[in-house]
Amino acid sequence: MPSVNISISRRQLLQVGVVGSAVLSTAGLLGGAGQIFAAAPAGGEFLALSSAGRDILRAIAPVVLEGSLPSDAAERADSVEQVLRAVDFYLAHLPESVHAEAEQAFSLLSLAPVRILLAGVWQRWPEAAPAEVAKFLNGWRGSSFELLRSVYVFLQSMVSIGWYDQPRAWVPMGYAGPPASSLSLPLGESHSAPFPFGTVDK
Amino acid sequence: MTHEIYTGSRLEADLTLAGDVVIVGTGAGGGVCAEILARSGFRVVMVEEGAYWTARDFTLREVPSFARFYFEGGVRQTKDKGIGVMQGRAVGGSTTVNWTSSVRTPSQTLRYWTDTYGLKGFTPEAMAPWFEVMEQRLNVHPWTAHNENNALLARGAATLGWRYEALPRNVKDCPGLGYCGLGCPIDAKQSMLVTTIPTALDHGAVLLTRVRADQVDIRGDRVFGITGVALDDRGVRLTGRRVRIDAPFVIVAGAAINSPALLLRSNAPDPYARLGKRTFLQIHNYSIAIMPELVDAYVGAPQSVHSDQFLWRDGVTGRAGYHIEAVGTQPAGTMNFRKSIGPELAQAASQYRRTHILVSQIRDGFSEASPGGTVTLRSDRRGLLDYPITEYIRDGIRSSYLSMAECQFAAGAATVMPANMDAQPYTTWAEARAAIASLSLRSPNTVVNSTHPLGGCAMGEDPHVSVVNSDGWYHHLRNLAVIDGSTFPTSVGVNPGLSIYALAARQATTLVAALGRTVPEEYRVG
Ligand SMILES: Cc1cc2nc3c(=O)[nH]c(=O)nc-3n(C[C@H](O)[C@H](O)[C@H](O)COP(=O)(O)OP(=O)(O)OC[C@H]3O[C@@H](n4cnc5c(N)ncnc54)[C@H](O)[C@@H]3O)c2cc1C
Repeated sequence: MPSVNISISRRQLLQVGVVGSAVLSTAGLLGGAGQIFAAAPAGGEFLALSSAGRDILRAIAPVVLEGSLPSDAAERADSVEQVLRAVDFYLAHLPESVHAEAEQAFSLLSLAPVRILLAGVWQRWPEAAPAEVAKFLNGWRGSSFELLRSVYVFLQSMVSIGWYDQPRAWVPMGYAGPPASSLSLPLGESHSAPFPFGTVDK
Repeated sequence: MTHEIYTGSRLEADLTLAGDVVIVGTGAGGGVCAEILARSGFRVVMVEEGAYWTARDFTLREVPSFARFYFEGGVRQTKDKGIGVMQGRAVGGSTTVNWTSSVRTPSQTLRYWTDTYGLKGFTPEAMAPWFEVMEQRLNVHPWTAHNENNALLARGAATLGWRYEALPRNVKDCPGLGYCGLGCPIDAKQSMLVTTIPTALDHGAVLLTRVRADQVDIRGDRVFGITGVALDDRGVRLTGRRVRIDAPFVIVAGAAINSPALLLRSNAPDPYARLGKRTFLQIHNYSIAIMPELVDAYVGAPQSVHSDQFLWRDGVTGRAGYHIEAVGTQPAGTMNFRKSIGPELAQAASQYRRTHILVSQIRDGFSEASPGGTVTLRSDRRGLLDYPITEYIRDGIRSSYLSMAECQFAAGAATVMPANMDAQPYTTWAEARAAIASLSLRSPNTVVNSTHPLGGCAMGEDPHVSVVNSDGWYHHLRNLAVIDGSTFPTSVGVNPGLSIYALAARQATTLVAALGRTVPEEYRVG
């Protein structure tokens, strides 16, 4: 799989420059990032995605996938949830330190000063206007700061991988899906450690 | 037949076992060693941190497959996050998910190893019988049913007068489903999962899955076995159960990054600080073309043609050389090369079936300007590779972008675009040439990754520059060998699988003889 750059740390974010560090330090919220992470553990049936991460993905997925998602509203909403499921499953299988880094990226993005001043998104993520989200993504994509480009790549990668792994995404691609053996297994099911040769399991 | 297999995630108590030889890792190196040693009558204990996935688990869906069968979801990142490294983590190791191209080590590489590192037994002539043995064992044979994706590479290369050839594959009755990287659901791929490991089990070898070797137990200049930690079903958390395996010989075969990490965790004697140094990646970079006709690159053997036109172009020690191959990719992977969003992404998706991707792999380690990267330990005791992208590598990336674009236009491409966020689709070779000449190469915009990490426990006869000798034996310990891709003193220059199989066959048989047993007949050469 091509590189998914999960590359953010508070230290790096501080390197974003005067604007970034001023935002973070004057807001005095650096400690808060950790608290958000700790206070928002994977809820409900999600294994790894915190509610902060879910909010952000729900806001950006329709923008990343503009022109790709089904037009039916219910199907659209369901597709976005499927993307979240896939991302959650994926993150849940990463080493905890990597998973924590991804979660930290989400936590930072959900800090109001970062969201407003660095991303230019005025409303909280669940209410964010798609046009603002698009501007944010395109802005970070072309940023001269490597860190912001990395966050863009991380968000883009998570959404696009989560979407293009779904049968619904394949229809407009003209792709019929993998050869039949395979589509029956739901994402979350674990088939680890089968014993194909009549083995002893102690 | 009953096999002795323990699943670490299900252990209800700590476990202690004893054997003649512990093998850490069940990939290309570990699998071959396990078969040879078990068939020679040793009680072999295999320790594998991945799970035992088999044909029916290979659903061919990308997200679950990358999550389950690869280290860190297939994007283990280098220290500065600039490069994603793909390594299998499963019974069978990377061979369970590799693409089956089975090509011999180039003679230039073998000669370089012999001349520069004083390796013994690695001349092209000495290695030839080992390649033959493994080609026989793993059913390596020429592949002629090239899919359109590979045929396009051949056509482009032919038009330009480049050298190119078909790649043999280690498959049996393969209908070319085209999903090798997600595991073979019909056992056509002759990976370690279906060849050497079942044979080793048949000969009494023991297999522990979801157990990570945490330390080799070392006292003075001897090892006494290993200590392992059990992992949960997802392979993420430690369950708290510990495993201890007593054995008078230990083979480390965890692959690059992991093998040096294990030895670093174990505080193995390393007087010249060589452990983890000179780790190579054969960095892969990509070029994406849209063809006028359907390509359907996801069907058929993913990689069956390569061109080595540029591999040794400027001499073995000269500028970065690279070989070029085609890439078969499923939708999620393909769409992720572009890092685009919105209408641009939707348009790329609509061109999916006409997408043709080439990869060039830059050989590293043959020049002083290319010392590779260094593995150290993270705070959670996993290996961490620091691999800075140097000017030498940049030169290889730019030059291979040019070669790939030229080839794709020669094959009739409508547009070509390097997998680089700063690039645009170009409609002519002249336009591409001018744009690529000044394209910025920067992280993370320039998409680079590797499926071929190698080195870090380099072979050599001089302990000042190497970790193990030509037989894979650790310079500073009496009864430990490293037998996997981590022992390569440089990268290979081509896909490394067969090189590792042949190396392992040579090393394991040498070990059997040194320990006073008889080598199985199929593995006797000369
Ligand atoms: C997607 C992909 C495609 C590829 N395609 C090709 C191809 O077409 N042709 C080719 O020649 N090569 C290919 N390769 C490369 C080739 O498969 C590898 O170079 C080769 O398998 C490496 O062999 P190895 O023995 O060094 O390690 P691996 O085969 O990677 O095996 C190492 C094993 O050790 C286990 N392990 C590591 N550390 C520990 C520990 N501490 N405790 C317990 N277990 C541990 C790992 O889980 C793993 O299973 C590909 C690789 C990938 C990832």
